Amino acid sequence: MQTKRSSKKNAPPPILNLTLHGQTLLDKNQFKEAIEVFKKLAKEQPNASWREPLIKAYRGRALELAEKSMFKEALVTLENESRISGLPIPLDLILPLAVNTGSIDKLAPFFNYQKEASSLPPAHLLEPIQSLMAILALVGDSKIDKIFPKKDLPFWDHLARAREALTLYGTNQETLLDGALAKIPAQSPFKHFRLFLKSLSLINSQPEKATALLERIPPHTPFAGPASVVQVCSFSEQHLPMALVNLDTAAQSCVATLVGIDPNSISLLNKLNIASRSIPKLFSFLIAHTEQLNLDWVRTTCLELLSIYPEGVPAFEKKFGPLDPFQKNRFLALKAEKNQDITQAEKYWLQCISILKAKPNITEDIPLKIALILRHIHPWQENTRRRRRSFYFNSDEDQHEPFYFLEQSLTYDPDDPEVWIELIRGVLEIKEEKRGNTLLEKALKIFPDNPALLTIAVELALKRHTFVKAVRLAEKLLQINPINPHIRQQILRAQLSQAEKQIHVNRLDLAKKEIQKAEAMARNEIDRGNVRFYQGVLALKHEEINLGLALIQEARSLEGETPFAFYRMFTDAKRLGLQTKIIQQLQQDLRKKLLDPPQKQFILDLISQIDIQLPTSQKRGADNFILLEDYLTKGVPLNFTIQERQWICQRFFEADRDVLLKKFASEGEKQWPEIDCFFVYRLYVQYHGQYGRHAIPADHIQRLVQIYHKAEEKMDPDHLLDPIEEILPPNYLYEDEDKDEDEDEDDSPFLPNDMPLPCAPEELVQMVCNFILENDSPPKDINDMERWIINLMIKVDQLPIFKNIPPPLKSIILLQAVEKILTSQEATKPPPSRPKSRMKPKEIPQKSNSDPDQLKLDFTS
Amino acid sequence: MKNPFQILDVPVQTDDETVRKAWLNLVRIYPPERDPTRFQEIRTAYEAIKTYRDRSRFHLFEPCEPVLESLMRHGLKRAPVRPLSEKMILDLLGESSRNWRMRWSHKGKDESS
Repeated sequence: MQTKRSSKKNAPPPILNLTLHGQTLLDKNQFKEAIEVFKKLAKEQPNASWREPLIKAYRGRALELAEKSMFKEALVTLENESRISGLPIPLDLILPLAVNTGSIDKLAPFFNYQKEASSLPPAHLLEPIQSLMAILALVGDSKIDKIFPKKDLPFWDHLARAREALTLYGTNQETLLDGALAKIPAQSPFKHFRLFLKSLSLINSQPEKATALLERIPPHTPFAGPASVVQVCSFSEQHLPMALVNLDTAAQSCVATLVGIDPNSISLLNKLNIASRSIPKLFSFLIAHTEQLNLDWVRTTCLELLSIYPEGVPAFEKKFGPLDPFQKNRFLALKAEKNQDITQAEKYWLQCISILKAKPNITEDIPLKIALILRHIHPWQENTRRRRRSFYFNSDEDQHEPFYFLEQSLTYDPDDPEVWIELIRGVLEIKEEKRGNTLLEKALKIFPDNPALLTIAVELALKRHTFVKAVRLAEKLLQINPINPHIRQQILRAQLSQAEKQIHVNRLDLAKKEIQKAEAMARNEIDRGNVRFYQGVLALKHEEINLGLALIQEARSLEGETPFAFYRMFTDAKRLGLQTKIIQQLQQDLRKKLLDPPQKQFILDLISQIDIQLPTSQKRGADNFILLEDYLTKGVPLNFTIQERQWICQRFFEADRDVLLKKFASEGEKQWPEIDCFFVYRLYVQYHGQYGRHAIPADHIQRLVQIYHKAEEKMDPDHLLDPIEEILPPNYLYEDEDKDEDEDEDDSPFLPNDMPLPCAPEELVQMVCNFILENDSPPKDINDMERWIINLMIKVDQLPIFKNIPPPLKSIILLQAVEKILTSQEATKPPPSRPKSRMKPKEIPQKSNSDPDQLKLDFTS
Repeated sequence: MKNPFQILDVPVQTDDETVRKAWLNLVRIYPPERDPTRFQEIRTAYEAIKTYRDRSRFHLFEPCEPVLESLMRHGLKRAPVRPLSEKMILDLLGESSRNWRMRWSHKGKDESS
């Protein structure tokens, strides 16, 4: 026995060790293990040194379990703690556990009060718990008996009154109900029930009063839920159904009873709510429930839905019969638009127009519909035209002239001034001034006082040198808007231009009158300087040299002695045919002035002058422009903003000033490499021309294509499509589009990407190049070119690597090789000048026979 | 785009005056300082169907999603109004107390986390 006791294995651990071990576990928050240790210790240790740590361990464990939502276990642990400590569990701990476990009876010690306020729980806990107990008592929960075992407590009395009130409400005895509710004291646990029941009785007769009562129920009490359900009853017809479907079944049923809704329609609403999450499901649901939902309404709704769900057309036709052909085509057009198939969309919209035109009874809305459709498809038509022009370099393919659809639309609906303005601006932008003028006259007949139209008319009159008309229109504009300084300036400009016209034909008296009128319009120093200059010119024409020079000097000082003023006066003097000595003097003064350090504003003013001179006096401007080049070049590094530098580049691009364009674009690219326009213009100067594009690095091409598509998407706000189209061939820009359409008549010299080839296309082309150069160099006489290519074709056809390549592809490879050879020969020649306007394809220089595109066409024909 | 006719609560075949009145009425209910999103929605709807031309354009080209509230309204069938029975009230209260306890549990968890 002694041996056994002394054996190490069975001997109990020393008490001191256990105490230390338990304390360590407690410190490490290992409460479960700590409880075990201290329980063991309690069995061995008669004194209560383990008591305090065990209580701590129980508390820690309870909180740990509550954290894991193990409320029952947490409650038991707390009860164990209470048993050992002999103290009640604190209310703030037991309350959430009792509520969560439904063990409301555990709260009995806190409510078995003897009317002493100090023994009650704090108000923020008391109110919701009292309400909860009131509800449990009303629904007959037996746990309430345990909490309030003594039947003489006020709680039971209040419950009886609440039940009485409930019965009175149920039996519709409203007058008695008020009395019964009044018997429930304001501090009773049933006080919120009192508000709730009263609001129920009022919700239909006095909804505002009922809502006010419901708002008095605190949101943290269990009565807040029923209160919000009753509040739904006061919702408007529009919002009620949505609120209804978001309630649970019991609540839905209550609202339906109170407001008067058929229970079957609630079920229908619930299903409709679920179906509405997807358009196809909603469509099917509506079609399947025509009887419950009213046939006409379902038909109208489904018809509306077809515009976003055109796939539903067959189901719709099955249910409601065939669709009106116009509607059917409309849905097909919308479907095509949704799929970004613009060609199909246009086709269906045009069919819609045909159907509308063919209708026997032309109702009022038909012309408007036609006009709106034409306006809708107009941007696509213009886009297609631009692409076609980019491909074919002429507009013969175009069925209609530019802006045809927009112009046609105005014959059906001429009452929209915005459309007139859009059309006229567009037509003038493509330099069709005569057509623009005709349209403008038509528009002004309909809208004689439209300021936007009058402004365009003034600008056009100035452009067309009809200065009297310009003044007349501008004066009308001034009557409409007397404080517009821009109009005054336009009038002044027109009057001075008219004076200039008179000076040219030596009618100096008439010129003087115009200048006098212009003087009355001048409102600032620059305008006065302008007028003074013309007065000086007139004096010089009258051989009053000293007076004339004095007036010109005054004009300069009025205009601030800027390089811009010097430049303008010099060019004007030349144009007005002043004495050579005076012109020379003005030129000399200008040269001196241009030696000053450049200033940002002067540069911008000078460049805007270039803009003004285009296109009417381009040639005159071109001569004088040489004087400015050095000055403008000095201005390249100035701190222009992105927008200013971009504008400068655009002006130089339009004026064909490649040297300055390159300098300004390169500087811009250096400062803002991420801005596309500087990159585009720099590349444009570097690579534009017939063959330059072949030298563009692949990564640059990729970026250019991306910029192009981005610009196209945003309607080209920065005018980048033009320069890009001039350096990149259309095949690169529209690689994947119209593939099927062009497959048989592809005139592209570029290799398609998806053709089966024995090696990389570039390698193949290079091999053919080497083969050609080894065998037969290109003829010097262009007339021999065709024969040379045919001979090459025969020779190349025999190459083993060409064995399995289809004939059309062989032609393309051969032509690429030929083009490469010709390019290398042409590279030393200067590139041909850029056509001035891409909107007038006829002005583009004729291609020579050495153009590989042309060769390809000849060859295939 | 949401259906502007349904947003303004005007019939599909309407006139300029009705649209304008409906718009002004809604703007009074939802001024920009109180509900800027709703105000913007109402304004966009008004701009879309302001004139006969706008409405015609809208009918032709604008695919728009139906407003659920408006669809729901058509599904609603009326029945006589009745007071709630005792049982219904007690069911509602019982359900609410259960929901409240559940919310309490979640609230307790959220607060502790």
